[in-house]
Amino acid sequence: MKPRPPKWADKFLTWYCREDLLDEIQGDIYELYERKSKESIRAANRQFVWNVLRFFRIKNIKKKKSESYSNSITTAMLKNNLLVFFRSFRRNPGHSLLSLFGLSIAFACTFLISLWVINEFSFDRFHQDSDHLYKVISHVDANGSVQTEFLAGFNMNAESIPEVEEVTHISTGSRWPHELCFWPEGGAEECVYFNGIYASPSLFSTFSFPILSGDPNPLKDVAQIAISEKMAKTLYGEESPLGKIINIDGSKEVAVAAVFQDVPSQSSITFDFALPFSILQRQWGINDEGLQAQFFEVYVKTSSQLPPEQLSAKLNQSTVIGEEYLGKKISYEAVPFTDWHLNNTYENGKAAGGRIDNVRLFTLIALLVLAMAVINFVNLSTAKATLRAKEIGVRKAIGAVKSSLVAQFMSESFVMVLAAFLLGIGWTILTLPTFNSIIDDSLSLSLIGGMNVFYLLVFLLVVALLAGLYPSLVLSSFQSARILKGMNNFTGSLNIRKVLMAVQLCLSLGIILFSSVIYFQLDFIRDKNLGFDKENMIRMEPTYGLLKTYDAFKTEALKSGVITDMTVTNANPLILGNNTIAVDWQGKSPDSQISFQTIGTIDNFPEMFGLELLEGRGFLPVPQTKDSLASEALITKTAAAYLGFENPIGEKIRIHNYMDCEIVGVVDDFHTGSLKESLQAVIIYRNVVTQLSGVYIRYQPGEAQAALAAISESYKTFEPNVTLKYWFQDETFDDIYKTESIASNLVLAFSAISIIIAIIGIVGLATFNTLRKTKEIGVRRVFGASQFESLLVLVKEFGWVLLLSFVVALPLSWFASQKWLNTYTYRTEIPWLAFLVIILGALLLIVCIIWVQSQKTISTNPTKSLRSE
Amino acid sequence: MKGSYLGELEELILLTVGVLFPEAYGVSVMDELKIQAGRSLNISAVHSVLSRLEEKGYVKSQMSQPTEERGGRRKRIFTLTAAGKNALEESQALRNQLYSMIPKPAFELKLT
Repeated sequence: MKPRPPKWADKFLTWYCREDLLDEIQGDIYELYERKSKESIRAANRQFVWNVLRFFRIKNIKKKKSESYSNSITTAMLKNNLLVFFRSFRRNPGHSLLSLFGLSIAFACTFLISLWVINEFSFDRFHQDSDHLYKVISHVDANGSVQTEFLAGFNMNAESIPEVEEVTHISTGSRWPHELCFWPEGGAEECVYFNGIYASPSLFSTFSFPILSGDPNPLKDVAQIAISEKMAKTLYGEESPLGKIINIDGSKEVAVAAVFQDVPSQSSITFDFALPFSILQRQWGINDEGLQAQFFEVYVKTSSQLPPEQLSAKLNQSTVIGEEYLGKKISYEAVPFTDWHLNNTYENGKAAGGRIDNVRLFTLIALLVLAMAVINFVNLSTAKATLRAKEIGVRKAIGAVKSSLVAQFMSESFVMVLAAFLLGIGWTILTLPTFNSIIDDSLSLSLIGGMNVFYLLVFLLVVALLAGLYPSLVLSSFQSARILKGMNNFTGSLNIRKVLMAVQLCLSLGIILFSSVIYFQLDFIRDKNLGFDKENMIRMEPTYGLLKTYDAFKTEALKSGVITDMTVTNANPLILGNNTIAVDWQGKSPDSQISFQTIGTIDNFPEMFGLELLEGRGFLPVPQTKDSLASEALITKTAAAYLGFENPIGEKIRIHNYMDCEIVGVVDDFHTGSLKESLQAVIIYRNVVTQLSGVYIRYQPGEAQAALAAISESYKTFEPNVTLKYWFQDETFDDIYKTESIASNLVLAFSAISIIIAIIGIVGLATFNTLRKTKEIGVRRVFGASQFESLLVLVKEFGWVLLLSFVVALPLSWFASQKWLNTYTYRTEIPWLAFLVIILGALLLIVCIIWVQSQKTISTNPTKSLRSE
Repeated sequence: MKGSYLGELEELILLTVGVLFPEAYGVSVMDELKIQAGRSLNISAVHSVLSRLEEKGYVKSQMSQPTEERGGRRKRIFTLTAAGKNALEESQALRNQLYSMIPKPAFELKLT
């Protein structure tokens, strides 16, 4: 086998070289190549390429064929192009509108997703020097498995690091003492709940939360509060709130020192009021020493942008973190604050994505939908253009050059894309409120500004170019003689159209199949037996006063009849996050770091939540008092396995280093978090009512409103001064899977859109195909083919397109689904039956479309179609 | 006449074309120059000199039959024209004349 010179270099030579010189030049280079290749092929290749490059000189380069006429696009010609465009639009309005519509909804889709993506990326970037802000999180190494808390110790001595300018501790939460009820001035009926934070004095200098009026540094004083504009308006109306005294929990008086601008929606830290830590100390009843031992959210501002690893290393020096925490295997990590919103999931101490995964997924889907629409557009315009072949033929015959035809078709597609673009903006504005309600966010078009406008225009141009390039090249290369003689079989472009069609069908099938998996998994979660009963249950936030009179309150509430039972706990079993390793028992190995979840509650909890008792007994219905030291505890099956007692009943355990309990029973496991996590070991212990924090009320099925009214009424009699705060348990449950249900809603919307686009594509291609095959069908009908057989002929055209797209889409969506499902510990299987139904449905739909489209042609008398022309 | 001026490389190549008759084409000229004058040129340089000589009318060319070893490409065979022969003779004569005019003592430099 003779060695061959590099193909590309040879091609390049042929491309640039003058034809009259090509033979000798190529011949000489070849000869030298063959000679050299006897020594070394690689050297020969190098020499060949070098020679080709050396011959690349002006003298040897092809001269452009001179054209005798001007090729410039004049305004008159553009005008004519536009006219022709409108004529062809009018002649075939259905077809043109179809492709316009398809493209415009894809544009709208892309716009909505871009808005969302821009919004996600703009989180926390409104702060001045936002690149200098870091959040400090801590990893706890518990025997190989690392737990990550998004908090850091109050005693962290970050100020000692020279690069660190400011350190801000923030205490956040969703309940008391962060959620407080404030009385509007002027004798309102009910107090209003606001969520706030306790923070270091540096809060307003580290972050850019602009202070509108009052003290620029409101948190330095121990008895001051800063409130948001919204809160000021609610509490004091138009009056100036500065200097007003607010009484927190009826015991701590603070003066309003400043009003700050409402925290923007793109902020990870949200609050309506800010109080100094000294108030929190008084709320919790802890002294300074106690405060030092607490963990809070910590933000560090540096003087310059540092690599986060460098800052983390400095934070872990023993002078900063402290020997005590180092000994407990705690380590800090600094995360750039601007990255936090999108990357806040940690698995075993390692960053594991977060919202960024969704951002990527939807960007991908938006691009796919857009690709589908562009493919459609290309398909439809080439198909349509073959029907305009005569026009092209005539144009060419009377002297149009290729470039002017390209210009014509490019300008046509540009007009179409521009129209679709504008229409897409229209759709976006119309659907934005719906989109906002689906994703539970408040996006607005105001996000688009500055550079984004420029990107949009570039995007428009690119799409117009992509959509116009191929059709215009194909159409302008038609040979006029052949067209005018009526020999128009453009099989080449037909094949490309089929490939594009296959890609498009594949994409839309993939999206549909994947969304069906998401749907089935969410359905699975909703129906999954959690191990306890979450239906028909209201959770309410009691005040301390109410808990003291709990028994009376319960009797009062049960009188109404709609409320069947009531219990109190210190944590919501749906989202129990009270992990603790502070559980001791006889025979526990000293370095064990097993973590348990705990619920403190009263006697009727197991019956109320419908837990299944496996061994022993439930709690005895005698009231628990503060004096009784030994408390009763129930443990779950998993917890029993962890504890390792042969017979757990009667064994003693000690929780939180002070609470001694005796195990009285074992209950079946129940889910205390997202189904993405596995079952946790849970200890349920009895506690005094006044130390608990949530009242759970079960009502008669379907009587939610009546139950709520009954509770409010009883609540009013016991706590006339505080507004009732309540949640429905099933709503709380849905909140756990909010991201998933938003994602599934969006994917569902996208699959609907992709179906629409696919249908448009199939309609377009089927129409074109039928027109092309009119004669063939006529002949077949004359020879006695039935209508059904004629239909089969048309469907056969799509045969391998369908087959190919099914064959590719199926494994792809299977793979994606598996990957997604694997993020859940409890997951449904791939719904093969649904896959089959979807594929059969798609098949049926396509055949139907072809049938409807070709109905006219097939059913007309064949003599008519054969006689035409 | 400016156009008829013969550069040094041009003269060498023109001579080589004469030497190689009737087999003078790009590669053979390049090889011969390497052997005789020890000058290694790139093939593209040889081509550009040859085409310059052709423009000046010192050589003429015709395409040969295609051969297997060149991937079926033809060669452009160059032959001297009368003008080319004249130009060579002229430059040869000029050299001889100038050489003969060098005074004898000038060659005895090493004695001084």
